[in-house]
Amino acid sequence: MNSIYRSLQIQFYFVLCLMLAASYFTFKFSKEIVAAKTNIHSHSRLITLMYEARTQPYSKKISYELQKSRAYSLNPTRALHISNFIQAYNSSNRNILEKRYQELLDYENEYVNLNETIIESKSDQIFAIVFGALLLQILNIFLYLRAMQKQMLSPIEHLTQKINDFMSGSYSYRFTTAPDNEIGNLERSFRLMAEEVIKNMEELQALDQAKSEFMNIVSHELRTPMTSIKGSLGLIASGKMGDLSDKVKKLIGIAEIESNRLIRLINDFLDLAKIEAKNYSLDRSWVPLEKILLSSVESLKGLQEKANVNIQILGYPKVEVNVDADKIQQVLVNLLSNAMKFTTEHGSVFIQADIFENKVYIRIKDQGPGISEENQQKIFQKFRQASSPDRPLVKGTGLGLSIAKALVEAHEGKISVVSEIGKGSEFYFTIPEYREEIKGKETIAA
Amino acid sequence: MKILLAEDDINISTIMAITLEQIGNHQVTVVEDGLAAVEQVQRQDYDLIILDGMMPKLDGFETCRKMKTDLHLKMPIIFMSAKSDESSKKAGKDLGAIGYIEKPFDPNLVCEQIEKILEEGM
Ligand SMILES: Nc1ncnc2c1ncn2[C@@H]1O[C@H](COP(=O)(O)OP(=O)(O)OP(=O)(O)O)[C@@H](O)[C@H]1O
Ligand SMILES: [Mg+2]
Repeated sequence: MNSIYRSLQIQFYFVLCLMLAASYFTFKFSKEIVAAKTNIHSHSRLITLMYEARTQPYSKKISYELQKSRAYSLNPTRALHISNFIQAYNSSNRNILEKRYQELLDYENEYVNLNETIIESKSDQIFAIVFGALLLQILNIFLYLRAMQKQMLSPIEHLTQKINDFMSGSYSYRFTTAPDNEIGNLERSFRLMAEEVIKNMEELQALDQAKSEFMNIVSHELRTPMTSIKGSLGLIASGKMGDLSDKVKKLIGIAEIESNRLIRLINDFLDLAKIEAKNYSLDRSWVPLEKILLSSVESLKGLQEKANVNIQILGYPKVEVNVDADKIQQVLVNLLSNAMKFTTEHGSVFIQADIFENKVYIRIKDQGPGISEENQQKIFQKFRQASSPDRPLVKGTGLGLSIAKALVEAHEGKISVVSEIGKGSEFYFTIPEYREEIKGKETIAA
Repeated sequence: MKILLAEDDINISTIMAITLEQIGNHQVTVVEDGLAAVEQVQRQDYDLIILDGMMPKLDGFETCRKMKTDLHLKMPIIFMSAKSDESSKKAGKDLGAIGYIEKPFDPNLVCEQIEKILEEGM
């Protein structure tokens, strides 16, 4: 396997061998240089002794020192020359001493030259080794980087690109280059993952498709019989099919009201399914907040009279909001009708809007029984009902808050409740997109 | 007015026919699917065609496309469908229909609704 680990290992051994060889030769040559330096040192010492021997009267000490020099001399020719000189010195024969002196001096000059040559050449060699090793190492690093670039960095970059493409939705997960190494393994694993993700996604899409098809069928299958029922009742109630007795009129009236309620329930349920579907779109425009608040209250007139509850608008900023007005109105109506359901007769429900942290907050407060902390979480879920009101005005289905939540979230707002048992509830939701109301619009229109 | 009504559900077509005849004083021909509607308009002229969206053989949208694009019919077409979402309303408009009646409809209002659509559409 052409693994990256293997190539790293080879690289490591190569550098190790290079370092060992360079160290070995450097060490060896250094030793030779040191030896040559010692020789030169002993040469200087010998020259001094020789000078002293020639100029000073005979001394045992000089003789002894000369003996020592000879003993330290490893070179046999040199040792012989020194021995001859010592003999001449001890014999006190001036002529012989001069002769031997000259011979030894000649030899010593040659000897010192030789050692100096050794030092010079070995220094050069050490330099060559160090420099050569350095060059080799540089070349090695350069080649290695190029190999890494080809083996690792480019494939990693390539893979990163593929992953980024994948994340941004272009599912080109088919790799052309998967080298037979660790990077290749990574690439293969990613491909498997991508295939799995795509498979799941396709399954989800199919499921989504099936769901919306199902919703369409349900919608059709529920509304078709409701159309017949509502149509028949409407025709009978119109009186065009013949006169009705008061009792029949009353019964037909009940049937009409209930069929309308059933249609509303079906619509609510299908609405919620639609809002929750991914491709839901809003019909947004800039509408004065005031208009939304007032028409919501207006549309609840009937229920308000029936409940005998007071709705008070405490205040609102003069702004326009960029919303699907019908949908935000539906949110308000759902929250207000809940508040009214839970308010005792002659009680009040309050609406207040203000701007806080760059959002419009709309609050609906009631003086009802309040909602326990535990239930505050649950009531925004579908078909979840906590306590039922003492006076059931309209029998609820538990979809009101789910629809409100879905609609507010479709507008990028949030919805929540602040409540305590026995202290009433305050539902609020936010609208992020608003602007100052354009003044003088009415005057232009008028 | 002479009206052609294409609707597969027999109950709804009965109610619609009675509504149009009794409340609107129109003359109504009922067919049960899109293909029959296409055949019928080639045989006779109508003042208005009402198409149900979902029908067997040929659905309302396909029928409308055939009538407007293939046969170049001038007769006004109104859709009637339980699919009340914006996209199918728009699809109907794009195919040349002039209006949309949502199901379930109120028979006491349908004739006024049709008149309004015809006024606006012409
Ligand atoms: N203002 C409130 N005070 C106390 N409890 C509330 C209040 N608003 C909602 N709730 C609780 O939350 C539950 C869910 O409310 P939601 O509006 O979703 O359904 P519903 O009112 O029962 O039915 P629907 O609105 O679909 O007719 C209610 O049944 C009630 O228990
Ligand atoms: Mg409710």
